[in-house]
Amino acid sequence: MANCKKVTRLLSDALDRPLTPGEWLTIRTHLPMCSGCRNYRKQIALLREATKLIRDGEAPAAADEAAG
Amino acid sequence: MAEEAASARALPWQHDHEYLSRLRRDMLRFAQLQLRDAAAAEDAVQEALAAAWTAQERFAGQSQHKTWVFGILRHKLVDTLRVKQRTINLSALDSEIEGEEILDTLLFKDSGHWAQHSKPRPWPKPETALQQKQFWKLFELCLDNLPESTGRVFMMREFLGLETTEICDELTVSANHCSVLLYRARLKLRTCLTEKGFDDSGYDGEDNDG
Repeated sequence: MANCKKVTRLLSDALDRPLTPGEWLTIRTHLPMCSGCRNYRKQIALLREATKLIRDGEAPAAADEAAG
Repeated sequence: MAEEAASARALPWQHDHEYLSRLRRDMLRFAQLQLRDAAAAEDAVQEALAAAWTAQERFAGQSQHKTWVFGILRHKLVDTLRVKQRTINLSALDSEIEGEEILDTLLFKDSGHWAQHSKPRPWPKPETALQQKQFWKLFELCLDNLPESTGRVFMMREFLGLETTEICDELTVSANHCSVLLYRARLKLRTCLTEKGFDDSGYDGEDNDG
């Protein structure tokens, strides 16, 4: 059975390349049993969303206290 | 010049000093994150603004001026990184990859399952998180904390939007190395954010099976 180390790597790879059906199967059988990996998946998705905002200059200037 | 037109809403951007200084500040932060070199960042921003200035007629019709200028800046940063890349020390990259293996030992048990203390707990929902000052502050801090090559690969992928194959070619490393570096970058970022206190204790616990 796939472990978390392997599944988290696949979930990361999925952001960079198409996964094979076998790889998706590995993920799909693991996720329902593992809240850690489900949370990890949401978190790396959030990282991607955040970087997208930064790269378009649309991130709130919140990191800068002086921002008006 | 700007003074007399200050009341007009549609001030040409080149003359809107307030807008320009905010734009410049945000561009600098973006460039510095990636280049980790204040002087090079300054150069890239200067060149991008100059290019935006001369190419402004091509901007007509686009709604987001800032997005457009950031697009120009990204191209400059890709160029700058390409030149820098040639000087990357491959043995340093290798030792960075090996050195990071300790992270696996910290996060995962021998079985490859999450260690009890490191199992990811829920974060706030994206729409909430992305509105939080705390998130952005910690995110930048954690990006800065990434090891040099790991950070560079992550930013080339996420900020400059390069495909993994392009990044591997630039770095002359294998596709596997590249994807390991991206994996480690994401793992480190989420771990760093969590360790610095980004979590959601008030979350309804949908994904918290213990």
